[in-house]
Amino acid sequence: MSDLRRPNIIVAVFDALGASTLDDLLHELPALAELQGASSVWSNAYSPNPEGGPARASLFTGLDPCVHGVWTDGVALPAYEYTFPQRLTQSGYITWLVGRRQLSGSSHWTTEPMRPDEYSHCEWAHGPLHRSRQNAYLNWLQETAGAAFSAIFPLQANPDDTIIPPEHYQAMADIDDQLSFNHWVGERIGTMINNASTTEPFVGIAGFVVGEAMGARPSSDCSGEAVNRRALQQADSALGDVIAALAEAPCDRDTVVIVTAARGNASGINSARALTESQIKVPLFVRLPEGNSRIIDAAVSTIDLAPTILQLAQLPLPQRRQGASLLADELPRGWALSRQRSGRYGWHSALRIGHWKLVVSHGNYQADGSPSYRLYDLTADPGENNNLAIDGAYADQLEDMIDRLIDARCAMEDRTEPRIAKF
Amino acid sequence: MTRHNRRPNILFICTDQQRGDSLHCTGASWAVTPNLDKLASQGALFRNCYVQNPVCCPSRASLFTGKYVANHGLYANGVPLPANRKLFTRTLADAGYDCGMIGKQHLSPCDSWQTELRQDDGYRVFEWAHGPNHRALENDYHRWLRKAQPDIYAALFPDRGANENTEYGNRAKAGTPVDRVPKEAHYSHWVAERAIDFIEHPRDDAEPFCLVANFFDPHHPFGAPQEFRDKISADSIPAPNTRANELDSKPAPHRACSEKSYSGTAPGFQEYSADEIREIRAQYWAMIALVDHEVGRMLEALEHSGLAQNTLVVFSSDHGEMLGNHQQLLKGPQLYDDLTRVPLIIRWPDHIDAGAVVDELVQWVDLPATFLDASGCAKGRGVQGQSLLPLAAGGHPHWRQWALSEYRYSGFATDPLIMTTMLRHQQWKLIVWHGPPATNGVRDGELYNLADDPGELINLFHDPEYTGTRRKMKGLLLDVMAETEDRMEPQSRLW
Repeated sequence: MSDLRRPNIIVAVFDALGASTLDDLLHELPALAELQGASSVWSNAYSPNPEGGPARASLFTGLDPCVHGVWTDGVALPAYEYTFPQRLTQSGYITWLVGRRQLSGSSHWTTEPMRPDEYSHCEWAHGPLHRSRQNAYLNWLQETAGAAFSAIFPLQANPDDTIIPPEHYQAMADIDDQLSFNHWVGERIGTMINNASTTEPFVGIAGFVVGEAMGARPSSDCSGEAVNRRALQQADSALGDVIAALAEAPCDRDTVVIVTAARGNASGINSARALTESQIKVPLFVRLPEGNSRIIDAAVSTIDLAPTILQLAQLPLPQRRQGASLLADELPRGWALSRQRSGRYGWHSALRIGHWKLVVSHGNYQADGSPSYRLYDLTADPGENNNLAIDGAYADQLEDMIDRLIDARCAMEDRTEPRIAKF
Repeated sequence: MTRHNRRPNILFICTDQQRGDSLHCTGASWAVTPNLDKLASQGALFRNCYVQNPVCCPSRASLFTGKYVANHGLYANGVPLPANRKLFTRTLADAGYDCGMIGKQHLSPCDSWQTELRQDDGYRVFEWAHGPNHRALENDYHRWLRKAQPDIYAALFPDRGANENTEYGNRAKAGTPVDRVPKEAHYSHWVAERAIDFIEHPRDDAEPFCLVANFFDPHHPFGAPQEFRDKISADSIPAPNTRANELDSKPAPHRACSEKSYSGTAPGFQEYSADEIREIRAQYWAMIALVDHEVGRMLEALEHSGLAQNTLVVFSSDHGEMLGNHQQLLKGPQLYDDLTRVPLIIRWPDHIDAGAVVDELVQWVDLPATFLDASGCAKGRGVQGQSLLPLAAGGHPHWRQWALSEYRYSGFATDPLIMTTMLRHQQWKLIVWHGPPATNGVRDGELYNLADDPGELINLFHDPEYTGTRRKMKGLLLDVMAETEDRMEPQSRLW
């Protein structure tokens, strides 16, 4: 029997897109602009980690990176964790993924293993330049435009030689809009919407890729990974196609559309200034069927997204979660913790609370000891140019933020197992 | 395989609620601990061993998993150990060790006389008894007592066991009858009897054993057989460590811990007269004397069986006991040395010099790493501690310079929930009483200079003169919290 109360859900997840970058470019992105205007917008949404792997594991599980165990890129989400697509599939949703996923390591053109019950239908591709044999986009491109494919990839993929020559980067960046990765994502999602069942609700996850590296290499070895404007425009157009397909869909079930990014801009991740707003503040907006466009300024985290989606799907929230539904009656958390634990870029922790932000670059307790601090008043200094931690007049404010960071870290420990007895 | 290359047996003797300073060899001149003192003189005595949590379950979970409390997920008594946690005894069993546990385990709830859920622990022998008053039918001490001393058993437990009386032991101000039975019928005697049986079990030379012998003593109720009470002179035990108006300088919940123990569910220090406190302190050391006596029998059996030379013997305890100090009893969110510093002795002839004394800060998470190191097993990715063998054998140039202990409403719950974190570094100890967003409690703290104030009587946290030290310790705590996160999942790809 059809249950029209459970909505369809479309989730657009950008691979690396800072909130401020999207704001800056919104004037050339009509679909995103229209969608954002009709949505509930969380204007201070943070990723718990500036690296894609940990950030996505958090986005899909609702757990902090310290709890799900994916502490840096290249670490696989442990098999015993549950993602929200798994829970939705098991509850009767038809679930699709098209594009990037990144819940396990993908270097050396490695194909990601899927999880039990994860997707009813999956067309996985880490990015347009990721040469796994299972890259669904490249298989589509080869079939759709063999000549274009052969021009970019004249040779067989070699997992031990994964450096893409500059001319091939350029060729892929210049590919026709209709052959682009993000167009493909939108087209496949659109096709699935057109063919959707009228009895079961669906969830479609569009894994857009807009970073310059295009799934070939992360930002570490190139000069950062700025957002590719053209790829973003192609994603915007694809999202427009998806919205249009929804309007034409045969089922009159309500559809919720969610736009977010796993992490902010990847450029600068290897610089001395870790955990900048550009790196960890991400777009997050939700278009609900009933409208209700509004802007929520309180800080939230992308770990709150999985519980939000489960609530939309009218599923009970699992015990093992740390995020809170953004649609709950309570006020949003009002704080967000983000941590980088990269072997290459060092360890840093950041706390946003109110208009204050503290970034700690952790010291080596055996060497010179002390951590270094950056303290910003984001209202007065949104560009994070004026480090108040070195100003003695703010010593008490700095200590207060250190106290709150200690408490926030404590709040994010793994206490998900229920207490079932007194002792 | 030559005899010298044989993997060692492991005998881990663990008491419950025994303070680090409670042995004669750790400063209690009135203690009657000849066997433990002798053990220390034959091996290494660690004088600064800290547990990762001041109550049973979370502390023991850190021992068995080698993880800090923030990571193993058993943050409070009454919480089951989450799935996917590997116990070091499982690793040893998989490597061919014959493993056994006798006594109290407490890695899952035991409230309302429930039988502890068995873990994937690798034990061949599991003779479990949560405590001498615990009325689960599976209480192996009671099964033994019923056969060994039927009259005593019938007199102690004439009824069938009342479920509503599950906190009977906690509510008792002094010892309960089962605490005072003659030693031949006592829980501690049972542990030693069964441990000796396990040690003497015939085994092939290639099959070493690992025995975890868990005494319940000197856990409250404060009672011991008269024979051992008679060995203790109450007059020789100093009065509790405190000073006038001490509680005024401490975070507010300390006062509640003084008025009532166990978050209001057990009698508090302030409900005892000075004489009663004096007596329970004497009973505490009487229990320790009993444990010492029984440990002596176990070590004698080990010697007699010819296994002592090739056996790693470790003696420690899961946490301490306030014992009237700071005007408090039992345990809870307080992170004084009374609760967090425990005895630790490691004896391994031919590997550790007799009489070694180690003053470095070490932690309970180091014990599973030590056992696995001695056994030749790889530590595995899950264990966060470091083997103590290099320290015991003469030193380690890069040993960690801190110790961490984390209380996460681990004892009886309160409203608001209480969470505290202790960081010891050099002579300094910082204790954070967490506030929002961790809990709705009031954020506060303690800072002690243990070089000048080993009794932790002078709280420097709010003293303007120590603002710099306080801030430096908070910075170090942030670093240590980052250091101790669980990054055990392998990075199998570059990205």
